[in-house]
Amino acid sequence: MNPKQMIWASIALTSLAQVALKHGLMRIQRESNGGLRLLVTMVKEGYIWLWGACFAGGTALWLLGLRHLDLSYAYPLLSFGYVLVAAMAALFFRERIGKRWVAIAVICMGVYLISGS
Amino acid sequence: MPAPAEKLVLEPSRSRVGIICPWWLAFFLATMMSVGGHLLIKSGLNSIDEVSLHGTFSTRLGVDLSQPAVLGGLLIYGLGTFFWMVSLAQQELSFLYPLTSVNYILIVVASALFFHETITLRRCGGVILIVVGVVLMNRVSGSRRR
Repeated sequence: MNPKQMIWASIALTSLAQVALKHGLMRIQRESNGGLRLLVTMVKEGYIWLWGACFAGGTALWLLGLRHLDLSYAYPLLSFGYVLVAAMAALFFRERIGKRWVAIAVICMGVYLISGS
Repeated sequence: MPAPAEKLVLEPSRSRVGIICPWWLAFFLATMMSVGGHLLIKSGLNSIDEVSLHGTFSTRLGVDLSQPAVLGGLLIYGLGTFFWMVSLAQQELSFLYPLTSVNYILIVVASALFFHETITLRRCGGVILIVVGVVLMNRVSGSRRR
């Protein structure tokens, strides 16, 4: 894997982490009466673990890739995560994107410019 | 100093968080720590000598994480996330989220200043488009689920 691929994989993993966290939290919401009980429920929830694993993997790939790349190149690419999260939220949670596709398109254009810079 | 945040608190049940730290201070700290953390991480990664650039995934990761600046940067970044949550507990996401796009500008300016990275016109244009896109994301009406 070259550094650029690592950065893209890192962005994909951290976006997946967000979706897993959201899904996990929605699943345990019913039982949330706060405190220790909530903590125990969270530890038992598989999607919370998926979030942790994706988050850790994403951070590791980020560090490995960033070593060889400009920070002013890699950091703005993180915004592509919003695009991925929006797409996955629409796909998995049936959230409506509505007119936000305009914002998503603008971000994509920015990411395209950065990735070729 | 009176807390202007009190007037802006949208959910009274959560206003207790404001006593710890008003939203604007928490947001400022979150921004500074997120940007500062990344700069520290990058400076730590830059100081790794060329010899340790090879090896397996895990050995290279071990080298990265053994840099005090990288570890410190990650820690500061994590603390920034905590302050982001403190801020988020007092304000709506659609108000706070576009403000975070200032991070992109700060990172690019700081990268040029501290690491002497070359900011081409193309990269500059990309960042501007991203900032506009992130601001738009919560300005245009998406789904209002609540």
